[in-house]
Amino acid sequence: MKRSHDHEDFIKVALPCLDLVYNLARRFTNDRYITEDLVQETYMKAFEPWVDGRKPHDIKPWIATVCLNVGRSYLRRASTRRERPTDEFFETTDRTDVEDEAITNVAAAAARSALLDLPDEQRIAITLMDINGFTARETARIMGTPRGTVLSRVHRGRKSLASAIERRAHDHEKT
Amino acid sequence: MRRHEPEHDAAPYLDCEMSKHQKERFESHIVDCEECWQEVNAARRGRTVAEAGREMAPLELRERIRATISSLPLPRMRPWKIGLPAMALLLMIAMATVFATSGRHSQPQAIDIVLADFHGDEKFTAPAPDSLPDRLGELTLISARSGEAAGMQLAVFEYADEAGHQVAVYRSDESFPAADGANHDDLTGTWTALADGAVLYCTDKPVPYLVVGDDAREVDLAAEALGLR
Repeated sequence: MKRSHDHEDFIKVALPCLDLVYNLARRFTNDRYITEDLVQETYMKAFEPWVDGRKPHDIKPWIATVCLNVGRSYLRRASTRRERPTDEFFETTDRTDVEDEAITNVAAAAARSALLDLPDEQRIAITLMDINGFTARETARIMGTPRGTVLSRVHRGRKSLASAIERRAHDHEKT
Repeated sequence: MRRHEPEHDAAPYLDCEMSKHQKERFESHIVDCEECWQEVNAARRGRTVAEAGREMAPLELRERIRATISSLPLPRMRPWKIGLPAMALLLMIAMATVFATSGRHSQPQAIDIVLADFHGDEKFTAPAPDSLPDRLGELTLISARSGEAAGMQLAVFEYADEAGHQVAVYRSDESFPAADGANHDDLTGTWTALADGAVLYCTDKPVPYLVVGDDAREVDLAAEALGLR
């Protein structure tokens, strides 16, 4: 199928946000394939208003909002069977320092696991601010939540993450 | 003076959300306050953990998205849109003519600043002197700030809903200058305008308000909920 100017334009502007959308979608599930489906659904949902002439002023918060709505819908559908995080999800790599990479992977997997254990709204606020780099104001706008509430959620989430990792390290030392 | 609330201050401090004065005051406080020191340290460690969870999207996903978008059909042209390209072309020619004959149009400085603030370039950072309702329909109040724009003292109340719509209500003691190209309603003394991708609605009653949003319907609803219509 021949691509139109709209297709090209959307791909050019929206595809650079893929890591952002992926990280946000990743906070709704620990299943890689479901994450990818959520990302795809986000892009498909964002395309329609785009070609309908409703282009956003700033693509990043806009596509994050679309992804958030897609993710929340998924959570509602899957609320009765929320899967638990596992440590098996590692990116393939061609680095030569295998040991360093393994340590990094373990730390990243532990961080992701701890993130998935947070309450939904804390996890989303932290993902938007600490992983995707949005300010508190932008996060508040994306989540439709007061800025003070966002900061409070982020703070409580960060403290929980710090405690979770400390507990994990402590358990590891004991074994 | 506000109560001692370590949880309340740690996040704004770490996220550079404090004014210079607040930051200096908090920094001199945490030197002697173990509780606040621990709070900030725990939050900093937690932020590092969160950052370690950042991932890159797989390369094959990038290709899959590209292929999916490329295969999406364009929405069917609605009947009222068929003549739109021609009308848009005529409008552009007319605007270019006006532009060429009357020089470059620009917004009054206060409107420019308000629009920049609305689009995320935060211009007003002082706390607001009071507040507006926490909710206007589906919109939730997310921040209340104040500051100065081209000599006007303003308070701004930002609202957003879960669908991502944003509305900011600007209030001042003096009338807002009309935006370039504004449509005036002499009967009500209000004006509306489209500028820089935003919808603007302005009234002087009961006091000067300028409601700015990314969606005309949300601007209407907010203005109505505030009794400005």
